[in-house]
Amino acid sequence: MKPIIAINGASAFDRQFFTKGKVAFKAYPQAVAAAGGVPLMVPSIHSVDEYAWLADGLLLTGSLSFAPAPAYTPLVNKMEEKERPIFDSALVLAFAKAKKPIMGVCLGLQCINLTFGGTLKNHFKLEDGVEHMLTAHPCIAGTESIAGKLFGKEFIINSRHERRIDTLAPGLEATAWSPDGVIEEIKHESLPIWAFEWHPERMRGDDRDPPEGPDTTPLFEWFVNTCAAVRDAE
Amino acid sequence: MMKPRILIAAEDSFDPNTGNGNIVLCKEYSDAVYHAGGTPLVALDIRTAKEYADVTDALLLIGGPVIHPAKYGSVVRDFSYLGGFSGTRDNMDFALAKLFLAQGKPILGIGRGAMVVNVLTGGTVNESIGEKGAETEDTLSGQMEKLLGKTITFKRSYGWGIGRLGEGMQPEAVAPDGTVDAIVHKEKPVWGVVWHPEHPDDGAAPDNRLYEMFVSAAASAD
Amino acid sequence: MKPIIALNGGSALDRQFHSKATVANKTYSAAVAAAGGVPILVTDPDSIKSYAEIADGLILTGSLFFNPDPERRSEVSKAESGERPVYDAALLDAFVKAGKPVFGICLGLQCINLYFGGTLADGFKFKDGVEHMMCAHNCLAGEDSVVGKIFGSEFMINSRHNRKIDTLAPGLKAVAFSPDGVIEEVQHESLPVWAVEWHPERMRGDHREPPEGPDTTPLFQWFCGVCKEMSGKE
Repeated sequence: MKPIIAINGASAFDRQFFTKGKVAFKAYPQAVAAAGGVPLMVPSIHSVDEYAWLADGLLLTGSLSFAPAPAYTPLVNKMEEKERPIFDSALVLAFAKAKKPIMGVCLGLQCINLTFGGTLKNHFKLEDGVEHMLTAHPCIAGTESIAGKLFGKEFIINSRHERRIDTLAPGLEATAWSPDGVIEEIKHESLPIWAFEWHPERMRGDDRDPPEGPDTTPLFEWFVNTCAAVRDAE
Repeated sequence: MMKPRILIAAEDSFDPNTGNGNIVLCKEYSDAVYHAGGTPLVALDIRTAKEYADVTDALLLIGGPVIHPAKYGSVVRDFSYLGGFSGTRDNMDFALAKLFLAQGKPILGIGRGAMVVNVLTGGTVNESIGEKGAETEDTLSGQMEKLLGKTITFKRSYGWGIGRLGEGMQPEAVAPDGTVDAIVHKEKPVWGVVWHPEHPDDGAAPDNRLYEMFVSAAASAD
Repeated sequence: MKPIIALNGGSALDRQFHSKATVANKTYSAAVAAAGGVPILVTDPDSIKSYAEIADGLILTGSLFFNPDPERRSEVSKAESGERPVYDAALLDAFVKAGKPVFGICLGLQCINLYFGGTLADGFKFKDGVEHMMCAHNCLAGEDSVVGKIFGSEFMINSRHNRKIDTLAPGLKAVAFSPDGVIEEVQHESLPVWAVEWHPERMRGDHREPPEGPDTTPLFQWFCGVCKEMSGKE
């Protein structure tokens, strides 16, 4: 049986009714399905414990807001900031408690760090003078880096974030960095939790962002296989 | 006991900002499922349709754009009719509905979902059913009458609707002009209603009885 | 040395200046680049002969128009129907005269048939009662079908066209069909000209339209290979 991978949604307005909703950027489920997992979006904050029980792993996705009409964009962005962290943190805690694997991407990494007691630095670029939004740079992987094991010590990644980890949460360790010192990958010391500040879901197949980067399909295969292995070990 | 897992086939939206597709689910549906005692889950990738059918207990097909006429053996006469049409959405809805129907697992079609259920069983779509937003008072019968009473009043969310009935489908809500607005399968746990009981704007007060019946059926199905 | 593959574009209004422009769906160029070709977009009607000299092959792409402003939609679609066929036919003529390979897709197939003296049936669905727009169906490939050699005698394809070949042009032969008899693939008896009525550029990688269809990357590899071989490039 293929492992079930829960995917958290981002805030959205439904196109039909213009009421609140949840959205998943298709690149995530496509990556999971291609890697042999069964991607399911988990839409209800009330059902977090059920989700942690029925799924074999959690893919904590990056930031996205979807408004079918541009006029609604500010409203959706506001929803994203207020409600999403609560839901996402609840999912992290529930899956961590169930000792099920979690893979965080961008906002997902930041959420994991916050949930375990770390801090973030907002708009670090203004202070540090480095741009990490809509650009690309090398990733320098340490010996414990999962991406490093798959793609080598140094490879090119995309960069799409305004926040970075400031203080790392207790129990988490940094395993890869950008050349200017931003933490690009973390893992938990004892729980099956890993996270990436970059967007591997945008680096699959033969048309990648950035084109110089590796095809990251093996990273999703690694995560899906890890979820299956953890499930089968029980 | 675990709550029944309700799979929702959601909206498939194109995001002009990213140039990529998104799967979007309106909160009313997940809330309605949760309050009815189920755990809502959203299908995301058609390649795992079979696994979705295997690991969940029932299927909720929700509102949305028109169905491609090729699905019911017709052709597009006017391209404006297609509006927000989504081929990937059609494919996902029909692939899942086919699997759940074959496994005998409950299916509830709401709005567009009712038409999907009807087309899946060999019925057609009535492409011009009247004005969107028009109020109608339908006479109920059978299971619908038992559940909701003798009549239901709602505003039409769609200018299109149920055409020729699918095989095994019975009409259980009929408008004064004869339009069928709810269908129930004679043997299988399959229901379709064109109104939106979860959505307060649709004229009828939010009413969770239909969702409760559906989730109970999911709980008792093997 | 990689073969250079010319791609014709569709009509567009430039988003910045709202003046005439040429647009190409990236799926075509991505397919060519992934198959080892160098995709170039041909944009200048006065340089057609030069394009045929520079490039080693031509892909005549499907219909597409791009308009950032919905109110000017009809203007763009008029450009598509008025100017494009003339331009496309001139481009095809230049490549045919240069003896270079041509691969047509959808509108490209229709253009090839018209150029060699065939006719099209517009709105054939009303007469025949079959829908070929935005759907999917089987492709039944005959013995001579290039596509059939790669993907087998029967496989799923997408369908996105309102016109079909009515009378086949002299010199062309039909080598694949839909179950309802629409010509889905043609080739020229003596010239290196091939075309398909469906959209292989939308069927690449692990997320395809339709999902049941084969990964068509090998088809683009085949065409780039033909172009390279005929160019004599090392």
